[in-house]
Amino acid sequence: MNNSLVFRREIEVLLKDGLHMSPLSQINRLACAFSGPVSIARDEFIADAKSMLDLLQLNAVKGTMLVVEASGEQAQELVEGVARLMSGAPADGGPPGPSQHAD
Amino acid sequence: MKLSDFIVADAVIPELKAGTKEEAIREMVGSLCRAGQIAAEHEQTIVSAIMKREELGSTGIGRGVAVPHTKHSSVGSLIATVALSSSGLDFASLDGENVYILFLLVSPPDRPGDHLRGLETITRHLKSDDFCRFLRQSRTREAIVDLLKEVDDQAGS
Repeated sequence: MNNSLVFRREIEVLLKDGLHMSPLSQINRLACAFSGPVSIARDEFIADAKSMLDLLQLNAVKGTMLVVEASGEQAQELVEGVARLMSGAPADGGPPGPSQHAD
Repeated sequence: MKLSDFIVADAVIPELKAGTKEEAIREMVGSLCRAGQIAAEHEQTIVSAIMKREELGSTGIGRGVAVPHTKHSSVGSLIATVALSSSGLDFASLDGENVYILFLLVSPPDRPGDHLRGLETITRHLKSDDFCRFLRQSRTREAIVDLLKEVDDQAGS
């Protein structure tokens, strides 16, 4: 495995209400469980995905393009998980969860 | 967006009487109600909706801060209030620490962008150690409102 692997992907926010606190919390949990650095950039602003304070500053409504970058082992899987959460799907690619909705 | 665009100055609480998360949310919604921003008939529904949201995941985001929130069709625009707890509240925060600063937001269901911009504005200021320190040191409503105005002016300059 190559620990210096960097994976970067541009992702469009597809959630109807944008990237609100609930999906951001899920992204934050994924990032915190990942060994390497994870960032999400919107234009000039770069959020450390391990910090909720940073993530909440993304102000990403539906249609916003964000650049997600992770470094380390399984960086691609991490970024793909974040992409799924930004589209409203579970991070693990499984079937959609219960309809209970948090803002 | 400025903090003063959506934080209701008359509803700011310099010291919460609440000892629990639910009591704090009830006190803050009650303050927005007394300030004339929420109709009395909707007060309980809004408290319940915020508590339901908390059950799905705490809005305690770390650094001693929580941002409980909900959508409600009775508000015409994003409204919020700030409250402080000098002794700290158990909010089941992400970092496990007590909460000392609370921003409670209520937004119209059809304006998700305003809600996100409000959260962005609040958290941008909360990143500043000075802002958090001065906020926690504030003892009166006037001092808090003055501080919010000051950071708004700095951000706009």
